Amino acid sequence: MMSAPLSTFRHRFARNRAGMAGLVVVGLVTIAALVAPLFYPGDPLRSVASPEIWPFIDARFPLGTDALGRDIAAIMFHGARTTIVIGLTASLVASVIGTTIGSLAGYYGGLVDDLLMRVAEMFQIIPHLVFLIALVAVLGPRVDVVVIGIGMVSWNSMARLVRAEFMTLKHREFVLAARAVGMSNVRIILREILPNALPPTVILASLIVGGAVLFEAALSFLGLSDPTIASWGRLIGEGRSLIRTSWYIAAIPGVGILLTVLSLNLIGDALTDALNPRISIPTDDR
Amino acid sequence: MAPIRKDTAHAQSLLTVSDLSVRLPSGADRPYALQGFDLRIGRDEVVCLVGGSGSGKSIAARAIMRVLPEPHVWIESGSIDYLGEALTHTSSSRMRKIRGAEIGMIFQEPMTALNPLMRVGTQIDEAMRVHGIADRRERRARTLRILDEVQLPDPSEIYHSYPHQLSGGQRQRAMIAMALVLEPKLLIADEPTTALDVTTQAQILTLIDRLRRVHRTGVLFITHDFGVVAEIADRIVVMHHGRVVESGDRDSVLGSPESDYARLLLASVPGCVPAPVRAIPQDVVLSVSGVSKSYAPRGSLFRRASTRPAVQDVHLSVRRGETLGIVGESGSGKSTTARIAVRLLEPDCGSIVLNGIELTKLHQRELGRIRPHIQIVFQDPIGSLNPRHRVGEIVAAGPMLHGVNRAEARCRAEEAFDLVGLDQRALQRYPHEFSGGQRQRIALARALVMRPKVLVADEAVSALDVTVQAQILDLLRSIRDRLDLAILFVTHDLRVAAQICDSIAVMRGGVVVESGATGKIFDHPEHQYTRQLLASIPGRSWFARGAHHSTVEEKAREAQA
Repeated sequence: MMSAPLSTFRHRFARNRAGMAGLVVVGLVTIAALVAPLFYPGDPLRSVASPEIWPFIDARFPLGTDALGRDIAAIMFHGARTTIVIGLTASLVASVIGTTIGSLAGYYGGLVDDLLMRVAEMFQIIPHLVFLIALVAVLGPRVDVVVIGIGMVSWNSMARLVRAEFMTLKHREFVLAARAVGMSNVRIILREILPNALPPTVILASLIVGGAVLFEAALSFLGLSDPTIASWGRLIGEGRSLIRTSWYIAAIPGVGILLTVLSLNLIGDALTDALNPRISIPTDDR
Repeated sequence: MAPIRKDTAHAQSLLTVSDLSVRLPSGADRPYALQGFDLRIGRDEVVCLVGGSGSGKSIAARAIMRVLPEPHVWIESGSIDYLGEALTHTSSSRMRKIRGAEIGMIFQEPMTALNPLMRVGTQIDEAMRVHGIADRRERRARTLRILDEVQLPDPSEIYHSYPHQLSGGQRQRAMIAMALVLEPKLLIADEPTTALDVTTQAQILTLIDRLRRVHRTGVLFITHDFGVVAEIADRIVVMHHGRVVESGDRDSVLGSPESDYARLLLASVPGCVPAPVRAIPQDVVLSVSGVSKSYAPRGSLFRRASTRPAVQDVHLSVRRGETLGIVGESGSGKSTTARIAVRLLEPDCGSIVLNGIELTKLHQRELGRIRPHIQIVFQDPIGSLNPRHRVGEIVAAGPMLHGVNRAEARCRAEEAFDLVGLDQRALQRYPHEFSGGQRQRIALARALVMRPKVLVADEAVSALDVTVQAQILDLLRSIRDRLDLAILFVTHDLRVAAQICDSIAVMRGGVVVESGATGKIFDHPEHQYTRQLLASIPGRSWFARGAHHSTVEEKAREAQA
């Protein structure tokens, strides 16, 4: 568990090669997002050259240009910001909603549990993309709307996980002991149980980031994200009509999304191994 | 107790283990799980392997069966000779034939050792099938015969039952049947009665002894309980830290142990001598009267909930400085009673009066103010401390909740650590850095730091090794006397209760069947069930009246002189 020193955790994570590869890719995307304004100052969505220059032909546009003559490399760099920011914040929103609802349902049980889980089921049976499209159609294609929308369709699994953790942990004796010294319920939830439920939550949150990136791409693909912001999904959507002549326009951001989401999942798997003590070498002495 | 048979020393040797060393992976707490381990088991002989947790006794059994968690743990040197066959060098296919057919094994936890999805009969049948008994009818007949032999009622019904439909004792009998159906010459029993109630344990021990005599099976019996050892052993091997520290026949090891460790173990065995009668003031601190509690599994829309009474009309009272034991088997309602007393559970009816205040009528907030007066210590020394907090925070959290400032709480935590015999520097560490006994001391410190009037100990020493258990009992006694603390001591073990309790309430099926002074319960039990409990105490004839304590202590004194 986390009570093992941090260096052990790092060591165990580093032993997982796929996880490390994932970390490298996500690290590169993050760096791209950070340096985008330095490398490509100004609006990435302005036309800078003639349209449909293929990659590796013009040294000024290493990834070529799209149908409107915009620099694809600039869109990729700035799009990385969108991907990272929306992925992380949407996952954060989902985690906060999911953890709150899951912990209340799991800790109190009974009627509270019934009510909250029915709400969770409602969100589970709504087709997620349709819900997002409806939300954006009503409230407008703004980043905050997209983030909150993705958060609202992604918290379900988190709530269920946290609820299950709470249901087992609340019967553990250290929780009973905390009640016996007169600790309040809120304090027990936040200080006693939540830290113990954290490892699986962290793993799931990393997987939700991947899902959020896909949702953002899907919305942008449909042209429903903020039109003033560069986005990988939007580039795919715009490259779609030229897929037979200039397939690279859709392929480049496509590969970007593929690698990013794959890497996030690999990180999730590596976290599972590193945070789960049961997969360790048995040193049982009995 | 079985009569001592002199011929065992000359019995034909079945299994000889010599100079066996088993290696642990680097990073373990010691390099070897077993070092220079010797063992000999004859036909028709019961050898008990005794030791505390981590002594390597289970590893020894696994090494003989060749089911070590290789490659992390492996046999480095030594030999295991089974009827002339060197098991250390046997091929794995031959080993598979030996397991089950030649050497049978039974485990501690019959629930997890049986496949929950297979009928009992099918599982026993399967054991024969994999060992090449092709005739279906023969297999069925043998299964029914062995089920009958382990004294299961109505074998043909048991044959078609699933494990969850059987009681704990019946499951263990089914396990034994499965191990014995191929008539192995050697049976390895790894703590087979530890998870069972004491009355069931007595029956299983008698059964193993009888089967051993009928089939002339050699038995390697692994246990930590000297009571069980006294009951069943022909010879005893005592282990400590992976080494054999003493071996010999039962009477010599139990009667005149030679090694210091064996002496320590024996001196720690709780005898059945009631604690000396003490003068106790008359003022009642805690009284529980007419308390009942039913568990209602939640019904659904289509199924009405049925209630199951856990505790019915329980009356108890504890005086200042007194220790009241609640003794009972699993499911007797003893833990439920304890938890109701601390108000971790709500009773359905009845009253709990602590220091003159009626607790059942209090609201959450008022209850919070009363809580410090009654504190609880749990059984599991691992589960009862939050692994994420430093033990200092754990102990200091209680007083701080009740308005004590950080520095003062810190001071009180240090005092509490002194009281339970722990170093104050240990406050900085995390729970996993402590041993089981130390953790139980921390849990005790967490309770004592609240300066309670009543301490509820819910199986507080049950998960500990016998030597550690004796230390914690000593500690409890001295704290009780120093602080004039009333203790509600819940245990399944009458021997432990005898050590510390002034009076005892015996519970069964949610009802107190008998209560009274400890001496009276032991000397003149009135209720049939109490008598049965007393008769089931393993090794009672050996450890009766603490005779062994005086001899052991004399020996210890002689050794010192």
